[in-house]
Amino acid sequence: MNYQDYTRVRELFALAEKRIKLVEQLDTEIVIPAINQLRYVGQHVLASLFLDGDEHNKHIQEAEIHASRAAYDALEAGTLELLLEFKQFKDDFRMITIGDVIPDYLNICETIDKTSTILSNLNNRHHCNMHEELQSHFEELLYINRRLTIAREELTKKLNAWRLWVFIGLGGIIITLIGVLVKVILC
Amino acid sequence: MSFTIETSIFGRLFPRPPSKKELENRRKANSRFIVGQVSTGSYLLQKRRYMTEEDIEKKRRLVLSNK
Repeated sequence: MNYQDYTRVRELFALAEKRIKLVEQLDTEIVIPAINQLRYVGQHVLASLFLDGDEHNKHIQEAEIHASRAAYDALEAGTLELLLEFKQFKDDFRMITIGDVIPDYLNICETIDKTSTILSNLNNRHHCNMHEELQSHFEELLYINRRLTIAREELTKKLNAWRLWVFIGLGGIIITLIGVLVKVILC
Repeated sequence: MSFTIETSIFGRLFPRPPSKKELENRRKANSRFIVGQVSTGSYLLQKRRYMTEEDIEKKRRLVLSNK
């Protein structure tokens, strides 16, 4: 048995673990598929220890594929979660101007759009350059997500104030209409 | 039924900010949805023949559409 055979598996495993830890900060449940892939890595590495020749190499290759997939799945799950949260954030505060509270809101929208495009075009899971780019975007999104969570409090106050003014306005219109109606009836 | 539609339209016109509990519940629902969406989830669904490749792609596009 040659320990050099396992170098690539070890590298990919470390990458997957690093990404899982990063995504875990966001949500512990979404990394389950990635952890599941790492379970298969262990299974294939163990199997390869007791085999020689082609069978040994085949199991190492399988372990590499699963480790690579784990690294990708963790990143994809984390990015999808952040994109979904941003979509819901945008929907929650659609009636008010977010830019007053978050001055660089347009830049944030641009980053979200770029990340979304990268993820949509990422058909080849083994395209490592794109993965690196996606990871840097994910880290940026993680920071944006923290800022948006903090901004929620201020935006909630703003939305409640907007609702109050709308109800006062609607109430005024209704009272005026009733007043006009009563006047018409009395005349 | 009509009441549900009315409240939903009212909710769209005058959105109320979600409470902390609602945000927590939403996060849990998102997690379940994402686990089903990531490659492994889609792969398993595909393997079990619950979904075609087009259905999976359609769902992915739905999540990714940011408009």
